[in-house]
Amino acid sequence: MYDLLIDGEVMSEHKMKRSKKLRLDLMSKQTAAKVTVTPMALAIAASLAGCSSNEEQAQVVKSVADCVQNTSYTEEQCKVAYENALAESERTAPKYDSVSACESEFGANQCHQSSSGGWFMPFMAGYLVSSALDSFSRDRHYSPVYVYGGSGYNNGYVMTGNGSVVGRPGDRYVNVSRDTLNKPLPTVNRTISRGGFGSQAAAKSNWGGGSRRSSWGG
Amino acid sequence: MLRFSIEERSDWQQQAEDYGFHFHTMYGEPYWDESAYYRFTLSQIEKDIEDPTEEIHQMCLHVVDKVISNEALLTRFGIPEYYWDYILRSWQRQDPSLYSRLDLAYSGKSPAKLLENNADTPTSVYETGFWQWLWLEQQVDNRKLPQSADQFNSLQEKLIERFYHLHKQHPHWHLHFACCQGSIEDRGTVQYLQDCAHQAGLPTGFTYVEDIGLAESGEYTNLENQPLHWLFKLYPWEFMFQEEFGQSLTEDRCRFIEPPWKSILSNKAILPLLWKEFKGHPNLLPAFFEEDITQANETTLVKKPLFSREGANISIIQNEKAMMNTEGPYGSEGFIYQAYTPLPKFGDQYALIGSWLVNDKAAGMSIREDRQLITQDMSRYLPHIIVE
Repeated sequence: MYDLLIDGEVMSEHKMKRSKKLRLDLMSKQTAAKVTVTPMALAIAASLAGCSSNEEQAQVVKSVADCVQNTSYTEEQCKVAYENALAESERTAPKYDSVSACESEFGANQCHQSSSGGWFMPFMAGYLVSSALDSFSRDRHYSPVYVYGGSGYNNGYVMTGNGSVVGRPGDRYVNVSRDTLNKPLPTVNRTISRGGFGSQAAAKSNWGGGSRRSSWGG
Repeated sequence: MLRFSIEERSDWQQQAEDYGFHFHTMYGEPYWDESAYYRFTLSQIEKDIEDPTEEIHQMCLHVVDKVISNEALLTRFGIPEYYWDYILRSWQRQDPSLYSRLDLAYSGKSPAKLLENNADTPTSVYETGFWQWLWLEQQVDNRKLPQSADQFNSLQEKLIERFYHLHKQHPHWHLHFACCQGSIEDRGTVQYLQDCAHQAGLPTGFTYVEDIGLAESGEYTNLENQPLHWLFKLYPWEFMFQEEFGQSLTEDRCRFIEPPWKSILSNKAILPLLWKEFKGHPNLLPAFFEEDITQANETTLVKKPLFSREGANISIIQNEKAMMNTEGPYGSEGFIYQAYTPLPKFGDQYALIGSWLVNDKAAGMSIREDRQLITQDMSRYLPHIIVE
């Protein structure tokens, strides 16, 4: 029996029946002590770390007036783009059960009730227009953006509806992935009920006082 | 196959704490037991466990293919008609499986016999893939076991490979993991699988089964209202089919691991069909539906509910009289009968082999020991080695 070098790893010619090497450093887990991070903050952390080569420049347009002044669009076109972005925002903005939950992420007075009612979302701070495709189209997709941590324009981040950060407040031009510019986000829906799974386990764990129930596996 | 006593590692409890193995002792009873181990030869492992495991799995898939579009059989399996198309679609799409565990009666002297196929929610995966592997490495280092000692256990390696493969198939998908509240064991199992997926580069999340929400769109959501489109659930399909949110499964807005077709594979009604299709196969025991019980020549039979977990509601029947039974909340959906085969006894302990599959590849072995003939949830886990 002798060792062979395959793909940089020493492999024994006699085939082992067990895993060659396990990453012990990745196995240490204190399940109970895990820190929970709010998903939006988590998504922002992830998008700050990421970097894509598949990017292009986009203009952040804040209002119809900003659009008229700083793009080649006519006022009529600017209104249509704004309405498109607003409808997109209604469909894809992050949504919260309470105004306080929304404000804890986006800042005081930065949230409103969705027009379908019932839940809360941040105000659209603007939308993105591709610098490369600066021509207007009625069917174009205009991605809404929001200011996360939005108390004042000096702190916080400009993000799209899925928490991906595109720049800082005040940036007129930002680099974004082509998907961000062109692909609509999935509809964010309100959760209408919870607890619809798990009742069988609850019922069966009452059997025998439930004292010995250790697993729903087998 | 022999049972040897061995000195325990002096610091294993501390290590268990450090590694997050929180269920080594449950309800004051030991679960992980390293005061002894089982020893096998390589030929026993390869010829008697590994090869038959893959063969049995293929036979099971063959039966699933027969059942999946047969209304009479689906009825016998106790699966509500509402889900038949849903299950069939998952089979036709070839929704990927992650893992299974076959429970085998094996003594080292005659062919292993399939007792059941835990294809939907197998547990003890952490103890097998990681913890007993670590035990072997350290006991070799401690010179308590020979340098040449090996173990039938590539489970963790194969799980990570499998997750890597699934990630390549769906590079943009996030996999959420779910289990029930209140079980340290299940939470630990799911955390382990999530760690394996993470090591494979797959983006993951976790939610409790009870916390899953249903959105207006028909999508399931986590507590943060994010849609769940791909979910590993350590929760039985037959439970989900009975529950309030089950109705919306058929909208297919979420893909599951294990996939819906595993509700057929993990059902004990597969045992009589296996026997019908492969009668006399050395790794199968005669098994019968209740209505075919007159065909059984055996004097001792084991009566099992279609959906029992962890040895609940099982009776051993001799000459039509129950000589032993376990209690539990299962059985309303019907029973099957399987020829009785004794588990091998070492001292005063009965040993049961768990043989693992990752997708369709045999991936390792676990051993549970119990003083009772019917292995239940309080049986102990013992490690094993291979020595020539």
